[in-house]
Amino acid sequence: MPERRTRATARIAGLYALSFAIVSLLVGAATWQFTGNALRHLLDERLRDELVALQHADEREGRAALIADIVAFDAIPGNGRYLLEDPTGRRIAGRVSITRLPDTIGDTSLRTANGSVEPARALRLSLRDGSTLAVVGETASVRRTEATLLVIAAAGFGVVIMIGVVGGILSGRALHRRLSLVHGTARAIIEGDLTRRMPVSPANDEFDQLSATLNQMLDHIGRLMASLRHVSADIAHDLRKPLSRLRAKLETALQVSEPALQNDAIADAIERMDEILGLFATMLRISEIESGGIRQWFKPVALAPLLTEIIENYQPVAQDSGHYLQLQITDENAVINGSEDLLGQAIVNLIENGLQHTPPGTHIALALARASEGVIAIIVKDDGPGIPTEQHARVLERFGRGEASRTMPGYGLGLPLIRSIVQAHGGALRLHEDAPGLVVQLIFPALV
Amino acid sequence: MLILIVEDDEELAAYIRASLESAGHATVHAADGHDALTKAQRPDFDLLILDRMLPKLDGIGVVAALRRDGVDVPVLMLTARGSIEDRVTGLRSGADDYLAKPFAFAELLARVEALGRRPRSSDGASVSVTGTIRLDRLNRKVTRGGRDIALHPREFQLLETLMRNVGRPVARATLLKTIWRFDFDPGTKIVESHLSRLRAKLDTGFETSAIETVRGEGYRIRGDA
Repeated sequence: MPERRTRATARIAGLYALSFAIVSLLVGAATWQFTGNALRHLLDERLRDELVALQHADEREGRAALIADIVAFDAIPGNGRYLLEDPTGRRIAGRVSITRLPDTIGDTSLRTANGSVEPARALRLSLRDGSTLAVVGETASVRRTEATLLVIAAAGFGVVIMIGVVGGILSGRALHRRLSLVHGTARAIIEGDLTRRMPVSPANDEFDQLSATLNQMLDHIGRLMASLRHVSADIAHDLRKPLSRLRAKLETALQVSEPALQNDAIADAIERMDEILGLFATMLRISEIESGGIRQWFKPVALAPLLTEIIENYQPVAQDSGHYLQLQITDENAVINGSEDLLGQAIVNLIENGLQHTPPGTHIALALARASEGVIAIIVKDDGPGIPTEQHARVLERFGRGEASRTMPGYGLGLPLIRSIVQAHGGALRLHEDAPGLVVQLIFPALV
Repeated sequence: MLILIVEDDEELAAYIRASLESAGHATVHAADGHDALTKAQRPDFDLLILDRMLPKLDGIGVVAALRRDGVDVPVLMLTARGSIEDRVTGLRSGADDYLAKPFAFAELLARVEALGRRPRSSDGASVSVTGTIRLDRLNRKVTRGGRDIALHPREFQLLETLMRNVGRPVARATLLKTIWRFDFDPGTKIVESHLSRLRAKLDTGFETSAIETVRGEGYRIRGDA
């Protein structure tokens, strides 16, 4: 990983320098080309002006005046620049010496007084009598300017490359430094220090925003892990009791020799086993409901007949345990979109909760009503001991039974299961303390 | 019945085979989905017990392939999870019933016999008689020793389910599923409460109780009651 990161940093520096180099190379080449062309064009203009002036002298003042002008100009120390030939090609005036003479304008080479050959431009004009007049200009100054430009460009290029490389390395290092802070924190978290958080500077730049988001994610994961630990500990705790009883029953079965007693002990063990399996089935059911996949089986469910049937089925149970079970339906036509099986399980669990967690003589009243337009409520109210308001949040957590019911049967999954079923139906579960007694309200969006 | 058991867990397969054979059925075993497809071509199977999770081709695939080939032998699917989705996809693919592992053997046997009996017409008999009890399905009338007994509909269903399985225990889970349509175990004693009322009505004036509790297995109506 560190090697890979270093390579990424170097790549950023390299790309940075390379793009600087390419841009400055293009700018340099364009400048060089444009400047060279402009200088050459200026030279040609000057030569043309001179040639036109000489032509005028010839036409207005005669050949002798032209020759006198050429001789006078050529007398200036330096290389001769003029040439006048008669129609047969014989030189009449001018001491310039060039390798070739273009037809109108073009490049040529100039032989200097000291014998060297220099690049030059020549401009040629035929006079009225057929003789030839030419003017030659050295291009050495243009070349020199171009050379100077090249040197300046090369120096600039070097500086730009340096800035590119240094800038690339510096910004790469800065990137590396910021990333390694995040990396180091992540490593520490992986190694088990879950309290570590990404550093956030007051600058609040993109890196700080990234760190802040990562920190929010870590906080969320931390909460989930805490609740997972809590649930695992509670599962382990709640399983210990039925498993110990199972073990005790099986040990009894091993020890007793009388077949009838042995069978009793084994049957007891199977009952304990079923209790544990039931606990697992409920846990699996909750996670299945919470995963959301069950919605695809939803269809319209009429609640009044469902509640009526369940209450009818539970009357004998309530009688046996000394409870009073009532149902009041004020909305006969309540229909919601859902799973009849799951809604039935939620209602059964509500009744079971009431029967198990209240003493004999308690009234348990169910009501089905339209809470408001488009909202259906199933309300279960009892006049039992209730659950203190400060424990309401706890009893809705898995295995989070209220302290008073720790010793009661059931494994603290009743209300969490009901809540997950209600939530899967787009509804909500509310608990109220009714002094005395508990009110559980299930709210559903109505279909009809 | 001749039953094909498709189960890759050798220990469980051996246990199911031994138990079904001691109940008087003949069994053939297949250990994976392909093996099952080959063996199921034999036309004389009365029932297939098919594990949901199998090597090579899973239970859903096997039952779907069999139904495509026009093999209409009843299929009882076994699953380790018993989730709603498992159950629905299992039944949609063509299985006839569904049983979640782990199960009580009495439960498996009850399902096997219910499925095996399903196509036979004797099931539609309108009257069942056991000892002194007479149950008339058409008129929904029950008598014991000639005396009319008025039963609540749920009690009638309970007795009817038990009478279908005279002499054999019916598991609590089967009763919850067939009578209350609960595929979960409610914590309280819903079966017990209804059963105790049924017992009270049946047994008034008789020495012996018609319905026995078989611990660890379920409830059984005595053949001689």
